[in-house]
Amino acid sequence: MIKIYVDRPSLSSEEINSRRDFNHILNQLPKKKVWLSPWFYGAVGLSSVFIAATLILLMK
Amino acid sequence: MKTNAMYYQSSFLLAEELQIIEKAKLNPAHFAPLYKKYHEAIFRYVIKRVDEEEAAYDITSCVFIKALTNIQRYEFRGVPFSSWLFRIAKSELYQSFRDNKTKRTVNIDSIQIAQLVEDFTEVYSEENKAKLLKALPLLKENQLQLIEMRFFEKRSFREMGEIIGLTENNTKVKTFRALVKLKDIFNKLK
Repeated sequence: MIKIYVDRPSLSSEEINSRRDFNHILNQLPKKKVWLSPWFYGAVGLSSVFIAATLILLMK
Repeated sequence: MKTNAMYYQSSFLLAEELQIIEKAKLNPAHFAPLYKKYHEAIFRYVIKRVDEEEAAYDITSCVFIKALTNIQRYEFRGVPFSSWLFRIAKSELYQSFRDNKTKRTVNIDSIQIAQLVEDFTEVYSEENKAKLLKALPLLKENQLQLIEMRFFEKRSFREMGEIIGLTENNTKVKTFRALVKLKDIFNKLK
């Protein structure tokens, strides 16, 4: 059943603003998965090429 | 009827908001000015509809977390960013009601009751006031929502439409129907 409040005392702006916490919001954000970043693929790709090239050179 | 002033912003302010949003898409920390600007408005929207203060603070936090998580999907449509936030707040509230975390409440002040009663009967009395308070919970949720936004929060039809996902005209028609329904329930009550 829906409750109806008549003339419920409202909170002051100061009271509401004192509960503002942007860092809490930022900390609650889901962490970005590293393997979804293009930088991850770039770094892994470049390292692989470098390692492969080194191995080929060493084997010659 | 006076309407919600926060909704009406100059094109300069809208452009400024858009700039912050674009920066926040790259780095969520840039969202801080919008959080500061709209935190209180979103909290007040939520607290009017829930029983407990702590639950209202939690839901408000969820609104901003959801907004930031989905900021990449935000598209500017020439209206203030607040409309998008209120839309998220609405969906978070209903999720909370479905999960039985909070109870739905309606906040109304005596002046608003008197105005509505006078619209219906032209005579304001304690008896009519009690009748209206009995009639309101008998409306369907979507009708109550429209009455609440229009008559208790003084929102424009355009803003209401953006929050509930309807056109301005459709919102106007549905609000009128909700008012007729409320009047009908009111007149049937003894």
